[in-house]
Amino acid sequence: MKLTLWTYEGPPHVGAMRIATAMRDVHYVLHAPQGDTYADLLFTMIERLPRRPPVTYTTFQARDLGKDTADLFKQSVQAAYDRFRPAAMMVGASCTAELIQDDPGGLAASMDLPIPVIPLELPSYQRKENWGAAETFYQMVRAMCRNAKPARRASVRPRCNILGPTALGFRHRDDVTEISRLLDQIGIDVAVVAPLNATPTDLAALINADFNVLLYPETGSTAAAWLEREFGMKFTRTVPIGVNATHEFIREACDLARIDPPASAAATLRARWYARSVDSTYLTGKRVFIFGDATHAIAAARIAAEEMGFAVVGLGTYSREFAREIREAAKRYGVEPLITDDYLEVEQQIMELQPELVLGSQMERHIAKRLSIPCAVISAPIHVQDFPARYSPQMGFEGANVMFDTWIHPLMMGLEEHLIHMFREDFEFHDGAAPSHLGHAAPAATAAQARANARPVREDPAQEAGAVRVPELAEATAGAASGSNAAESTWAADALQELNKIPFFVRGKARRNTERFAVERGVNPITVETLYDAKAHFSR
Amino acid sequence: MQLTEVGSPYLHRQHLAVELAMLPAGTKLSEGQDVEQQLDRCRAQQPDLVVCGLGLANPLEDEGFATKWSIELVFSPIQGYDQAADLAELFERPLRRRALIAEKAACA
Repeated sequence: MKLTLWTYEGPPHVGAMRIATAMRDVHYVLHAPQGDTYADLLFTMIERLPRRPPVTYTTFQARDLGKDTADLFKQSVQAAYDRFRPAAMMVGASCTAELIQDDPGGLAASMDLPIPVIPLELPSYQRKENWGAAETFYQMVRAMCRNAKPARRASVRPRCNILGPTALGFRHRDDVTEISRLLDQIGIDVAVVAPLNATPTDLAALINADFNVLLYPETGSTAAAWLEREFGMKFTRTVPIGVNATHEFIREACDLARIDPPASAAATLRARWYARSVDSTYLTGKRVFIFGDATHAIAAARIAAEEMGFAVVGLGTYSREFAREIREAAKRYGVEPLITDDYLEVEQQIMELQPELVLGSQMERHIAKRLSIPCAVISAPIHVQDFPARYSPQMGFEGANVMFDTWIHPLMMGLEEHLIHMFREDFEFHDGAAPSHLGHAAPAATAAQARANARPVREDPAQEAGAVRVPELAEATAGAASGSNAAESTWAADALQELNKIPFFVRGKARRNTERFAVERGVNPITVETLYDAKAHFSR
Repeated sequence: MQLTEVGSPYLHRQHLAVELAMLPAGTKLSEGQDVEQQLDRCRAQQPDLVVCGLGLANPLEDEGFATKWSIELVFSPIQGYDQAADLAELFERPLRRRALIAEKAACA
């Protein structure tokens, strides 16, 4: 067993809650101890839902364990039915309750409620949240569609369903809007979106559409595959994240709908031109590290390589169910895939790779922030700020626009920081200089004072190691790990000044190389000449 | 302030004997979490402020109740005379905030 402080995915019953909370007119009775009710606040706090998830917890306590917890469960089911009168009910156990083996499914079935009751068997100790969501959605679809008969339809346009969006999903709300609009624009009607905002009756109507659009394989692929097996409903394989993928998605959807692809559906697309415009030249070959759920990570890698002109230096996922897809993608970019749910391993790899941009979940954002590397969030697990008030999809052409902005803005900041470092000794730009727009109101500081303020010379190596100018943090940590070599070289003041002129994102590497070079040759202290000798040596 | 109800998921009456004795006589105490019934009682009482967890705060705000996160009482230094004003402010802030951002007439 391994203990951790944090995890990318919750237990599978949280996945089931994401389905229950996304849907309307369902209720989930969860055999769970009191502490498990914390899961409510994922939805009410992080997603800011103004209603509680439709979940009743049995909330047994330690003192109940000697008594009849099975009876407690049945009472909870009855009370939930009487109070909420849902059209369908899901029943199951959380991790802790799984151990007392009360068989929620069997107990609920014995009660003969006049609605469909769907038992959920979610092995908490082998599986995780996304699997739990996919399994729950599949069980709901199966229960509602099993005996459904396809209905005649009046519509002339081809019809599809959208499968996969859940509660607590990364931008699912806006993705659904964007893709529904896109489908409508190319001549395809959306019959049912599920599970988001779907009722059990809506699920039964899934089989009346011509095909399915699978937006989130992590949560929707089990149900989509079953609908294909049972009802011959084909589903789309391309997830429309990024410009190229969206074009491919349109072709695939038109193919399944048996209509001609439109001449152009990309009237609002700006990302492609923005990437071509000359101010984006500096993006070329930026080294980017990507980690997230498999769908978003693979899509981000493709956009990074094909649409931004970045170099993908790392690609990984915590979605073990999609390890194969990640491995295939990693092969395309010539990188070693990182498949792990241990954030410390991810942090280690980011420190080793020293990328110029990190695209990840909220955890990678924290890691990148600590290492002072620009970062954008592309995937769950998410944070309250990933539910923006504004329209902000990831999918379709507007999604491509949104991603161009959110990935590039942190880099602009990087460029600015570089410029500040380059010019901070300039008489106009030193720390003591007043903002230029304030004109002559500037306090008079002598050039000498200003220079002293602008650049405190740090000659004491111990003080240097302790100073958390964070581009140097990775390096300080690496130095501490590899022994005392780094500590043996001291830097002459002018060499340190010269080092600080190097752009911050390669400064760590330059510093390490120079120190290694100096130690190997017994040079101490490191002077400006050593710095340039080392540069010449390593560029050979 | 008048207390309409004081509830806790788990109430150790022995450990909290001193604190319990300080509550006004006749204060309604509830233990455990039949949260639906507790919410029913809350809706019937219509208190001016509900101190509750984050799982309930937004749904109650949506129903029109002013709420205070109970977790803030755990995390904020509120002990002693020095911090009594801060403690009072914790209760007052949600009420003040509601007044500040109260909806004015929508534009025509």
